[in-house]
Amino acid sequence: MTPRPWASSTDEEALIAASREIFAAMAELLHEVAEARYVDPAGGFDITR
Amino acid sequence: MTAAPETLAEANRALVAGTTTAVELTECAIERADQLDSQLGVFIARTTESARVAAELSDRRRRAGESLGPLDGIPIGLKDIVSDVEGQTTAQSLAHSPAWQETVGVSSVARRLRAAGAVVMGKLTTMEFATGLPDETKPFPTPRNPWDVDRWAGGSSSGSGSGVASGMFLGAVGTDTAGSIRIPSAFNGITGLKPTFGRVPKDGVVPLGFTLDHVGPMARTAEDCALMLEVMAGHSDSDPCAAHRPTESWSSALTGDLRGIRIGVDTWERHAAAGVDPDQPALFQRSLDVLRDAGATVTQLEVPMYAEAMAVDMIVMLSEAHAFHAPDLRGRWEDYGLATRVLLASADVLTGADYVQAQRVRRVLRTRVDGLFESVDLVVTPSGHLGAPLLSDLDPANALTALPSVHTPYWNPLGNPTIALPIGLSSVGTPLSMSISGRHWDERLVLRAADAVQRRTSEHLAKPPMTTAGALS
Repeated sequence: MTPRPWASSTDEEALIAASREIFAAMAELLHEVAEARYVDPAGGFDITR
Repeated sequence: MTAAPETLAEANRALVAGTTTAVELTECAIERADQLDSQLGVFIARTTESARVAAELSDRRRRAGESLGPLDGIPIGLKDIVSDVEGQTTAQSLAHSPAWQETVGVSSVARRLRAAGAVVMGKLTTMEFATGLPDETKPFPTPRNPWDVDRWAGGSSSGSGSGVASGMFLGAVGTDTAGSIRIPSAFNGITGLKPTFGRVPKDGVVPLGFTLDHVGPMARTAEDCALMLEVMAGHSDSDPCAAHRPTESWSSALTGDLRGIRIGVDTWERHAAAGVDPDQPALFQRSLDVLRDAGATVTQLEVPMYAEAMAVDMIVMLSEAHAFHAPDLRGRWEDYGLATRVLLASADVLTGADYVQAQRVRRVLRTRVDGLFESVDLVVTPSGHLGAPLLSDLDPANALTALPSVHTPYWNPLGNPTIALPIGLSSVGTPLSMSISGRHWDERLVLRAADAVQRRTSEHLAKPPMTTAGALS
């Protein structure tokens, strides 16, 4: 699905597209953490517990 | 008064001894801001007249034997994402609605500091919504560094850092989601504490990352930070993340003695992607020697999951920030600065699964670091490997490149207490810093270690040349 544009400027949309690629790569790195395969996220949401 | 006190603790001692007054301290702070604020961009709003009134009331209390404690009569500043009883909170943005403050009310932190007698000098510059970059197209001051006004004060607690360094107040409130207390502390040569997550309530503070935002003190010394923390900390029903933990006398833990303390060190040079200042390694090693001199055992270790921790911080922060900002990004796009709107909008690529996975990795990370703290009591790293960048090198179109070789985000998803303190000047005369991190809730030891260094060194008292008497006369 093509994301809905935020900016009227094509230059800004290009910047957004470039940032999206960086963030998507970061997210992918985290999906590859094998140690998290069967981890419940609850302790991640509230680190004071 | 002979000379203006250099630290908050020293000012308190002078007030107790009767060798200065709150009015004198406040007038000194006002004069310094009159001299330098137009060059440094520390304040978004000054509250000079109400500060004068507060100082007068403080002196009256003291004369009546009714002092409220170590912060009574001390000039402080508030980062302008912290709501206060006086004025609107701007978050340094045209996009921030007054409805936010009407909804959330005054922050617990501002209430507590005022109740302790602190004299609020005004609201301080930040990065827009504690993110983004300085943007000269918007009607807000550009935060400049007192060590070199062509350089950035850092962020996002920009005015908090440069204002303490330049003597416009003796302590300031900062917030830290990826390093926003520790980065400006490092860049301006002061001391800043990110307490354990939940130690200081964040109600009444404009959110960036709900599960990452830490509120903490910034001042010249660890002792000053301890005195501020004693007032700022404690549960608040208004913050769902605030912990039920008692306030402690952190300042009484500052013995200068680190015998029996095990410190693990990671130089993180392998992660300094933008390079290392030529003088940084020697300054860092010298600081480790000081920790040894204080009695600590110092060993090398490897802090786990560096890249993953940085990614967790970014994914969680951007997801949480996007949820907060999406309606205004759609409706008020041009009101946001370029760097802020590109960063926040780009987070639309992140999915719910990405967010949950980041939280799962966050839990793994926490388990690994908890394990690390079974073999050491403290972890010491550089705050960063370079000093403050030139403002001309900041590119709003590439905000992610604004903080080269900075390592502070590692500790935000973990929530551990971390203090940044100065270690000397870089090869270009800008301050450098190291970080000391401890177990959850162990601010006592973190502050004690930083104080032990500062008792044996003088880097934390170094003054930017523009603030010395000769330069100001």
